[in-house]
Amino acid sequence: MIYWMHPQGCSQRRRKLTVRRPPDYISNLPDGIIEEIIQRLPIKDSVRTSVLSTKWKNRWMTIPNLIFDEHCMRQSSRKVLTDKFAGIIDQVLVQHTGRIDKFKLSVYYLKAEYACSYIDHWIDVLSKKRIQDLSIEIDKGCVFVVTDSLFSCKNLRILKLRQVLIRHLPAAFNGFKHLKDLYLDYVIIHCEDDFYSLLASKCPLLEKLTMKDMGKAPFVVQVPPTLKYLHLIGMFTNMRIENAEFLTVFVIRVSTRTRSLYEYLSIGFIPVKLPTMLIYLKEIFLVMDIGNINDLASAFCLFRSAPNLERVRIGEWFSTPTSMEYADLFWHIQKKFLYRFNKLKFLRLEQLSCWTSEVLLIDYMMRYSPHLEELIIEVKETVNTQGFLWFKHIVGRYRSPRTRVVVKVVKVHDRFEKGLS
Amino acid sequence: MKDSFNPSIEPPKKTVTLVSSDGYDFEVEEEVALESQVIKDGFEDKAVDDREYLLFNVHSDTLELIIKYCEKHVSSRKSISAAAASSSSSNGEEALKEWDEHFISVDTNTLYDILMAADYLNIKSLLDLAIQKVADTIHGRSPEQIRKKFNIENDSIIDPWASE
Repeated sequence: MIYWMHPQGCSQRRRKLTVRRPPDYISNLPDGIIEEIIQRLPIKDSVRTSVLSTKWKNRWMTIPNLIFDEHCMRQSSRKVLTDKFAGIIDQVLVQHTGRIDKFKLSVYYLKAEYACSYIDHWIDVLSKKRIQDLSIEIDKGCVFVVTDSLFSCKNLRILKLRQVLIRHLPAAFNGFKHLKDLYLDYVIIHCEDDFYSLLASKCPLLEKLTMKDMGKAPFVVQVPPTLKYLHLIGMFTNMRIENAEFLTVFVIRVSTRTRSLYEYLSIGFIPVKLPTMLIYLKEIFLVMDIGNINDLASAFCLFRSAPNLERVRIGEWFSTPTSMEYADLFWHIQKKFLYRFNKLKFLRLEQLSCWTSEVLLIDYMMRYSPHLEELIIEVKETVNTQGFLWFKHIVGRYRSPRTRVVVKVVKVHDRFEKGLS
Repeated sequence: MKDSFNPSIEPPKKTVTLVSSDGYDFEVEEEVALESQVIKDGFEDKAVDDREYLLFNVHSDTLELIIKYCEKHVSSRKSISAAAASSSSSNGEEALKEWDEHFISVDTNTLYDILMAADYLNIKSLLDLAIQKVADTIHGRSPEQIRKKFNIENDSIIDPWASE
């Protein structure tokens, strides 16, 4: 509400003043605002502001974030690192006078003849500018071969690499002391043992590690004790994670049909519990085959090792209508090693078809999650009607009045579809 | 004064008076005025009976818009949190975003006034909205179009992307 006050004797003061402004509004904004405006533009538009007028000439040169992605070039040449594009990046880096906090190169493939040496040179320049957040993402074609320049970026906090080859670590390399977030997507590492032991011992602040579709997966990955968030996507065979007792979030997504969840966690057989208890683990997201007994056993091995779980999210990417016989046997065994989800508050199950195995999982989890606050179930359009009725019966029977239940019918997710093809 | 004649159940809302550069008084609810970080910072230091702020840099036309923005944000924040508490679904945030978009669709002159006022009063969300609006206006336009839009005088330098 606005109240117009009419104090007496104010009529003189209330006469509207005509304010004269320069016709050029934007150029006269405070420096901080102009810098913020330029920073929000794609790099191409940022650099272009230099031609507007003398006032604008040098303004872009101090923006701290440089993003070179599909918005930089014309539609026709999008996402291709041509010699010309590389030349522009060169020019931008030469002219830039301030500090650079973030540099991102995201291209579809490398067309420039000397692409690798270009990128290498840029990283060299960036390391001298004390770069903190570096992304080199290439989709196809040739792989960028990392050289010593990357390891001289001592101030890195975030490092994201896609389609990159690491042959060896420089002898003098002493770790990334400030690195908090490491994202590796199809990164081929020839010096695996060195790399992972270095990760565990020489990156004292590393909190988040994402590994996706690593060409050749390591056998044992040691992670630093500071690690809180671990995200594994794709195909890994017989991989064992060590030192992960401080994890708070654990995400596992399998993207191909041939590998299943249990292979992450075990070599040969599935233990009842992991060797170390993950007492800080609060959140798990698993994409798995609920109908696969091995996957289920692995999931429960993980649950049993994580007594303080608060949020569980399970996505079904490939459902097998398991025969009752096997499923019954599995749940019978589970009762022997009964696990109660005593801290569980949020449970979300995605892409369900309500096959027997899925309903039995819900049945178990509803029964032994006394403090559940929210249950979200996403069922596919092609849901098994009989199973759905059974599921509704179970939810009605075990839900406490405090539990909020949401059921959504969803389309079959593209991401999950890929797993099926 | 009104309250003494109309004793309601709710206690009277505390108000603050904002005075624009051209001398208009605006009486607004305290929580609306506190959207401005500058007012919030100075608030504790002020005596209880002295709740007047002279805003030398903000014209009444602009101040009216700014108050409209703050009132909308205070009220929709309340309704969003009320909806969350009763766990009923609401599209409050989406609706507010739409409202913001409509609010900031103004001519360049007004946009400049809003930017300067939001900066002066330190209202972060509004400053953010206005900056994004300017960035969106520049985005995808040729230098000549930008100059025309904002009346920038031309003194040309080579455009590194010109021949691309």
